[in-house]
Formats: sequence, structure tokens, C-alpha cells
Amino acid sequence: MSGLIELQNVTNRFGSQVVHDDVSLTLEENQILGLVGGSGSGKSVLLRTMLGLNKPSQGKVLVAGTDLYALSQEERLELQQKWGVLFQNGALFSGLSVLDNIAMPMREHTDLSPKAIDNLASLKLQMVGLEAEAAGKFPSALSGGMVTRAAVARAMALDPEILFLDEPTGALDPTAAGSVDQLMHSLHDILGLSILIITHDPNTLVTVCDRIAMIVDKKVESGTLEEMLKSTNPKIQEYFSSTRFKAALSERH
Amino acid sequence: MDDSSGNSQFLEVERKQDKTYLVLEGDWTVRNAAPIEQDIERVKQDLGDQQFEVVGDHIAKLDTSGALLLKKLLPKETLPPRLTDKQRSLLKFLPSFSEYAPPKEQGQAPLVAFFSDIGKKTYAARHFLWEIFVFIGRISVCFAGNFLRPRAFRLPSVVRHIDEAGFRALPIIGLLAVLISMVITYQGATQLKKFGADIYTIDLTVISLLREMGVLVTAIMVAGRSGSAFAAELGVMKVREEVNALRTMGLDPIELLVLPRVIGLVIALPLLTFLADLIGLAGGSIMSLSLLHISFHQYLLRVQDVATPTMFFVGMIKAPVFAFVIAVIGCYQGLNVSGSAEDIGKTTTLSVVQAIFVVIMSDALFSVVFSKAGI
Repeated sequence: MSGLIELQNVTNRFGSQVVHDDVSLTLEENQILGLVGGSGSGKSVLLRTMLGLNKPSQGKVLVAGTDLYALSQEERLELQQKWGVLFQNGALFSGLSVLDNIAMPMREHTDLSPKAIDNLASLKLQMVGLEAEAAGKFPSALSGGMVTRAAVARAMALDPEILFLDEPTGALDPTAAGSVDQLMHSLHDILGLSILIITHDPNTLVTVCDRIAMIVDKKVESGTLEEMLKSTNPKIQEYFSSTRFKAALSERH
Repeated sequence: MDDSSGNSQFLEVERKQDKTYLVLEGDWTVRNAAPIEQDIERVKQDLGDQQFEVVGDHIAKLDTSGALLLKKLLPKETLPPRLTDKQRSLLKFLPSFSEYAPPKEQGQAPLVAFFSDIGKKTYAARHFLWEIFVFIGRISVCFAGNFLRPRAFRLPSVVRHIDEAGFRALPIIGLLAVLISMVITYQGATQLKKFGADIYTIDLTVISLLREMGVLVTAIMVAGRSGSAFAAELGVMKVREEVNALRTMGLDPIELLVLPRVIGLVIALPLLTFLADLIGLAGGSIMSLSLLHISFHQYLLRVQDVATPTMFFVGMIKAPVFAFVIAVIGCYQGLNVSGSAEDIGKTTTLSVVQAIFVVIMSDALFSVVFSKAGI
């Protein structure tokens, strides 16, 4: 399998503070990769580095074999259209209704008729399980769970090949979190999406992810769930033997 | 009908024996959705009522947008036999298609809407006025109550606001005062020269600066600088529920957040006005020297003749009033941000507009009162 996105020996430094030290990580095609780590360990920074929003101090980010940060503006924009991103707090545009939020990427990047765009956008809304009446609402009138769903719908607007999700289930109740997990599964199985999930939710890690990467002491260790469970690194052991994690594991068996 | 009509990159009509097949090919993705949509419309028109079968297994790539378009071609009940398993599961995964219908806005006759709008705004204005007086009342009660326990005046906080609203505004206000007095002197000099009354230029500068311009320019600048800052600071605290957190700890947001700002500004603005008056007079002297060739000494003598304590105090008395108005409006708007972050921007703008409006209004009111009183 080829690596869709590959971090090669990436080091991120802010002033004298080193966030990532010589980190390598690969997101492979048709894979769901879960990225975990304690708060403040730099998960979001790593995501921003992958997305082309934060040039690493050292190292390379390869996208389909080419260096992301060496691309021209146009090439990068073209590449980014194949990506869907869910930011941590949804990042819905506050001046637009939910439907317009989802329709905006389509309006900008396709020649579809306005009616077709509205139809497509409302389809995406239904896909993520939002009611039709949510379409006309503004983000400020939505609950946390609805914001997450609407943001997933927007990330799906252009039918991306890769989906980046920053804590998609963080603000959700267990039922809603379960259905988002289910949604990610479906997107992956049916549409063949590759997904990178940053999460704190043990259930998501256990039920959805093919591989897990963990940021420990500025380094990244990755492997399948079984491999991570067998890891000898004490910090990884500690993380995966926490009670919440054990509960999620026992549910699976 | 010609057999090749309706054929394109994505859709092909094939006829075998008595059956019509619609062969789909290419990438049925969002990027090709526009031409595909047109093709579908055309083929549907061409075929009319004829029965046809969709052949989907030649499609190279199908995403959700393509699937939505594909659904338009398919019969409602059963999926045709010639689809791949992946396509089937995608079609089943998609929720049943329903045309998006934008919610209907309740229409009102334009004339009715016009008058009801005026009515609503008037009512809102009345409500706002009432609220503002209630707010002032609460501040006054808190202020009076604090004399029983002086610690509640939060001296460090007051000092911080004097520093932020007053001391840090000095450079910009000094510059403005110089510029304004230069403009007045220049305009006065060019007009009064015609009558040979050059020396009265100084009278004009001194009177307008001390009575009106010094305090007005300072107040407008402070409204833009500090009034907006108050609204934004308190607005952010409200949105992040810091204000609610204070309340649940049994602390009064008025005592903790509003009163120090009001007291700070009421102290800072008169000081700024005094400095603006001084710097403005200095600016006038530069202009008189270069334009009218009046020496600095002469200028000073004339200023001493013209400027009276009354004139100075007429200007100064307005400063605390303006400061109070600016601080109260800024804080009121800040605490009235409801819920979302985008409200903060609107509220901040509103607070500045209202503050400047009320400052100029009350300045006009002062003028009327002073002229009736003969001051």
C-alpha cells in the first residue's frame, strides 16, 4: 500500500519549545488512523502540519510522494480540494446558514446549478443525520453535537479522498458519538475514504480505527490496536490500561 | 430518433433488440457533476416515456454526488441488475432523496412590514432606554453600598483602567489636540485676516478649544478606544460564561467588572481633557507664530487675557459626564452580548456609535443649559 500522506522526520519547534522531535508517520490509503496523545502533546499541531498550515521546522510532509510545502499555491489548493477537514470546534462560518456552509465549497469549486447544489447539500445533511429544519439555522443556534455533524457534512461537501477529523466525538453524548463512529465506518467502507481521527474517545479507537498512532514524549509510535496493547513503552501501557480504555475493550469482545 | 443522440462521455444510449440500455461510464464525481446533470436532463427528454435499463458497472468512480445523480435515473422500487456491489451499498447508504425546499418566509405586505418595523424599533428603543436607566441604577446602588466596605472599590482594578484608558491614550490624544487647534487657528486666521482682526484668531482658538473641542475630541477618541474595549472585554467574558461563573461564586459583576471601569474612566477622561487643552494651546501657538507672526510671548499674553476660569471649567465639567456615558454604554453592551462570538463584533460597533452619539447629544444639551444660564 502506498502512503497517502507521509510525515518524514518532522520536527516542530516554537521558540525553544520542541513539540515534535523527529517524527515519522504514514497515513495509508483506505485506512482509518487514530491519533492520540495527552492534552498539550501536539496532536492538533501535527494535524496542521499535515494539512499544510504549519511548516515544520525540519523534515518533510509528502503527499502522494511530493513535498507539500514545496508545492506552488495553485498545486496545493488543488490538492486540498481532495481533503475534508473537521476542525476541533467545527469552525462553521458564523455568517452563513448550515446549508450555505455545506454548499459553499461546492459553489466555489464546481459549476453545478444552484438547485443541484442545494439538493446535494441537503443530502449531505441527511447523511450525517441532521433534520431538514437544521438547514436554515445559523451555527450559533446549534447544539454542540449538531455543530459537529454539520461540520462533518461540510468536510464531506466535495467528496474528499481523505478526511481529517479533530475530536469529532468530543462534544457529543454517547448515542451521538456512537452514530458518528458508525458514520465514519460507513464512509470508509462504502466510499473508500482514508480517515485521520484525533480523538480521546476509547470507543472510537477500539471500534473504528485500523491503526493507532500515539504521541509520547514528542515522538510518535504507531501500530494496530493489538500491537499498541503489547507495547513495552510505560506511557503507552498506562494509556491503554486506563479503566476507560479497558471498558471500551471489554465491550468489543 | 438518431441512435447517437444523447451520447456523451458519461451516458450512452444503446439499443439491443427491443430493449433500451443506458450505459454509464467515466467518473461520476462531484467534479463532473455539472455536465452529468445536463446529460441526464437531455437523455431523459430524448427518451421520454420509453422504458430503459441502467447499466452502471462501467462507471470508473462513483461518489455521493454521482450517486445522487444516478438515483434520478433509477426506478424507485428495485435496483437494476447491472450495478456493482459497491454501487449498490452506496445507493442504499444514501438517505432517500428528497428535493430541498427552502423554508418559506412569512410574507408581509411591504407597507405593513414598513410600519411594523418602525413600531418594533420604537419599542426596542424604549426598552433600551429603560434598561440603561436600570443599569445606571444598579451601578449607583453598588457605588453607594461600597462606601460601607471601601475594599469593594477594587483600587488595583481602577488603577489598571486609568492606566489603560488614560495614560496609554496620551500620545494619540496629544497629537489630535495639536492637529485640531492648528486647523482651527489656520481657518480662523485666513478668515479674520480679511477684516484685519488677526489677533482675534487666538481668541477663537482658545475659546473653542477650552469650551468645546478639547473635551469633545478627547471624549470621541476615548469612546472609540476604551468604550469599544469595554464592550469587547465584557462581551468575551459573557460569551465564555466568565460572568456567569462570577455570579455563581456570589460575586457581583457590576462591582467587579463595571464599577472599576466606570470609576477609572471618570478619573481618566478629565485628566486627558486637561492635557488636551494644554497641548492644544501649544499647537495654536505654533500656528500663530508661523501664520500670523505672533511671538510666543505675545500669544501667551493674549491667552491670559481671553481664557477665564469659567471657560476652562465649562469644558472640564463635561469630561466626567462624557466619561460616565461612554463607560456605561460600553459595559452595558458588553454584558448584553447574547451567546455567540459574532455578536461581540456587532455589540462593540454599536457601543461606539451609541457612545459618540450620546456624547455629542449631551454636549449640545450642555450648550443650551450654559447659554440659558448665561455662562
